[in-house]
Amino acid sequence: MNSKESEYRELFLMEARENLEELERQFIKLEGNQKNKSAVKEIFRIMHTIKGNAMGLGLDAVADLSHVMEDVMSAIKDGKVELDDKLFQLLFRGNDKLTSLINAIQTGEKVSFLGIKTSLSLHLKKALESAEEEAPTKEEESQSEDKDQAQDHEEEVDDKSSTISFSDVIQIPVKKMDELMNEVGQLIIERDRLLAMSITKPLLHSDLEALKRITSDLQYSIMNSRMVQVGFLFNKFHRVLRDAAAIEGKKVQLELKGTEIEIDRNVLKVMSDSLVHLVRNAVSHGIEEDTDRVKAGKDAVGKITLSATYERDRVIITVADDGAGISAKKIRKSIVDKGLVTASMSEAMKDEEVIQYIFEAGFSNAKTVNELSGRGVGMDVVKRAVESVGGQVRIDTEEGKGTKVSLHVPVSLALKSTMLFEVNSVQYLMALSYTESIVTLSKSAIHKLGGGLTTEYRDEPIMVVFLKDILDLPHLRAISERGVLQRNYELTEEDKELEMLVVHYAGKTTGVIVDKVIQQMEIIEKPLAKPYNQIKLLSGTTILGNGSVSPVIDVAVVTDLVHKNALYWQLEEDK
Amino acid sequence: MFAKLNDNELEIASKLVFDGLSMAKKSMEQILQSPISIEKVDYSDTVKSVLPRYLQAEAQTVHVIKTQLIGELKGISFLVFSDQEVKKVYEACLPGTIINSSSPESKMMKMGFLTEVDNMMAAAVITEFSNFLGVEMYGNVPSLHVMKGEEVNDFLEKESGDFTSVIHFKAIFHGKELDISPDFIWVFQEEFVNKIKAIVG
Amino acid sequence: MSQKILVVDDSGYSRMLVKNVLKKAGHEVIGEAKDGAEALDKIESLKPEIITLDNILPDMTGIDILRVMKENDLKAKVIMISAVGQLSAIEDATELGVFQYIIKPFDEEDLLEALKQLENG
Repeated sequence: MNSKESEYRELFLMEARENLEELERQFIKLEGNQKNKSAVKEIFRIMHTIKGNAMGLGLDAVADLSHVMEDVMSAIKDGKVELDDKLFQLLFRGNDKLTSLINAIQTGEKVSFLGIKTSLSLHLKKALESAEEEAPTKEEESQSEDKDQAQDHEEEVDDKSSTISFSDVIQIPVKKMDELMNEVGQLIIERDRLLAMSITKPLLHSDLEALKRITSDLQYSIMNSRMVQVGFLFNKFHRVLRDAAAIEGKKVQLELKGTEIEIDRNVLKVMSDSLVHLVRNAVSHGIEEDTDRVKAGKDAVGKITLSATYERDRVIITVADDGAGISAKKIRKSIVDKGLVTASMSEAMKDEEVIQYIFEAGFSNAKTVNELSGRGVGMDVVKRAVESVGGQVRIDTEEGKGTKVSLHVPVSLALKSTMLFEVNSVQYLMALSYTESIVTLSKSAIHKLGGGLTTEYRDEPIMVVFLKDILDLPHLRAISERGVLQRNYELTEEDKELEMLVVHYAGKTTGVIVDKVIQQMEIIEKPLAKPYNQIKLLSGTTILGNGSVSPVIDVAVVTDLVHKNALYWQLEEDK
Repeated sequence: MFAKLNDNELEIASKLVFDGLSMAKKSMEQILQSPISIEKVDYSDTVKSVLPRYLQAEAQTVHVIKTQLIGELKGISFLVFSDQEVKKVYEACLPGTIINSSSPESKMMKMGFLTEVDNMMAAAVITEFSNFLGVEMYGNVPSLHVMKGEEVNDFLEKESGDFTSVIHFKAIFHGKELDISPDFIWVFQEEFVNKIKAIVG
Repeated sequence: MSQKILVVDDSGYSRMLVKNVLKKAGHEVIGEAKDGAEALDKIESLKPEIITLDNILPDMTGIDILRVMKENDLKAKVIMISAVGQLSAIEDATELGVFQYIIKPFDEEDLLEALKQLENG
């Protein structure tokens, strides 16, 4: 077991013991009065928490048993199953077993729980079956359907208020705090050593080596203490999915992958609403009715996968469904109908480009917007949320196969990986998360196209821009003047070698030509102060090692400018 | 009782009941290691005052062992012993150390013995019925209810209350050597009659 | 040869009867269970070689237990000892790999014979 894992186990145990004490109290309440609704709810909630946390840590036994108990409590809570003496005894035994299982995490003792788990699930199954037998006869069914609908509406109201709660407090294991304390101690010793040294002689660069090491360790440790496992968030989605599936009347199962991946708590928090949205979207628009699924040769039960993986300094969180996929044809028609593009433009666009329009504000492909979501409604919000932490959204969809939405977000908000480069002797930065590669090419590989420039990149034509052309503009509106984006191209000698950053944003690839690429850099980005926060082209600034302030170019804005300009010129030519 | 059955069906039904009770008798003989006979079989469509011998015996302690049927055919059975009969059965079957001890383990053992007698007798009847009628049915775990004589008839009536329309038969078993005559009461939902009709028809 | 046996029955009296027969035959009773939950836990933790199993238990049937054993790859030779005697029940049990089905009330000889057959393979 690595140290991180044992840290989480300690944290889990600490929480679990508190939970067990509370369970004990609630069970005593319930024993006194088996109709005690608040006790039922509370036990349900605690089981749910224990299950979620145990799953995140791979404590299968604890997760399994608490899962069954949660299911039973949920059925009692919803009035589907009556809590009688027999069931109470089973739950009580289950609780005892759960306590033993949790204690066994530390002792390593083997505790068998198969029996009580089977008893509980069989009891639940039988109780639900006999409840079904007593279900209303046909004549009453139509009435009860109306009632169901009424209930759905109630749920809808409920549903909106119940977003995923995310505590503002993070729990830091004592061990991590001890490490921090230890590093701060070292920092103070080093400070005093340097102070003492500076009295007798001027400090040399090499004297500062230890200080450099300690401060970077300290920074790393603080970042580390802000990290949480995505499993803590992912596990909340069993509930989200179940609720959404119940409202839609669909059968869906959830699979979680990469729950152990760690990410900055704030990034995760920003992502949580977007993920709720994406999962609900997947249920209501991705997954088909079970009859349609069977017709299409799929398993009747739909599958939604939430996964996390590392990629360089980013974490990619994906929500994938094995549903109907998104029809580019329908979207193409829809965006023309809505006047977002002209018919001829839409024909010229590739399917992937068309799909990107679902991220446009106000776009909705759903015929009727139901209580959960219209696919598209809110996709712009997802996009904005991801971009606010310097990430980006990608969507892959195949008709009949399913849809995958990936959120590429930084592991930590504190540090941003960037590329430092120079234009007009000024140093600029651009987020590395959008940068696909850096290539060198000669001017002859670039050609004029409409009002802009183009080249071949990996056998595909991409738009190219000399960043200098944009930086030289008096204001961004001036971009529509003919030839402004070809100015520096014209000025460049034919055989000149150019350095180009290939950036990928929102499904569009763009080549950004700069004077000189300098180096990759980890920076702490600061937002622009007023009135500079009006400058769209910049996302923020940072202070470089030499004390100078460097602006961070917003890739999103550059991409938008270049591609909108291209479309503009295409339109002009169409006329 | 069985008014809805024609003569042919009635004959089959009676034979089935008799076969079932005979199997129960055999089981009882085997457990008690003593000959048992079926003294009398009564049919009726009510469980009201079904055991007149307890109507006057107010102070007597009575042991009722109840088995609920689960499966396709709903029903319930009761095996009823008086306190004296229970003692005689214990004497015949359990070691003296258990009979004379009042430790919790011994009490459990005694209770377990009684319920087991019922379990086997009920299962014998159920096995006959299940095989003959081709229905899935089992006796659930039996439960022992100890009460005053005056409460017995009310208890039986109340416990059978779930069955809106009942078919009911009662047998008095007799153990000559042991000098016991327990009652064995069966209550079925009317579906039982339909099953008989289906088999004969 | 002595085998490790788990006795499962809700009735203490029945367990006692079975245990007495088993001990007489020189087998080691390593545990008892009075309901399905206890039985499954002990099957998992004690790993008995033989199980005598009642079919009707307070929380589940013997058939349920056999199914869960199969699902969890818990292997043991099972002798069903139950008052449930109908053919369908015996068929279900046999399909799930029960070695012998003894109907209660049973004679000592029935159980001893079943154990002997078990040992002989």
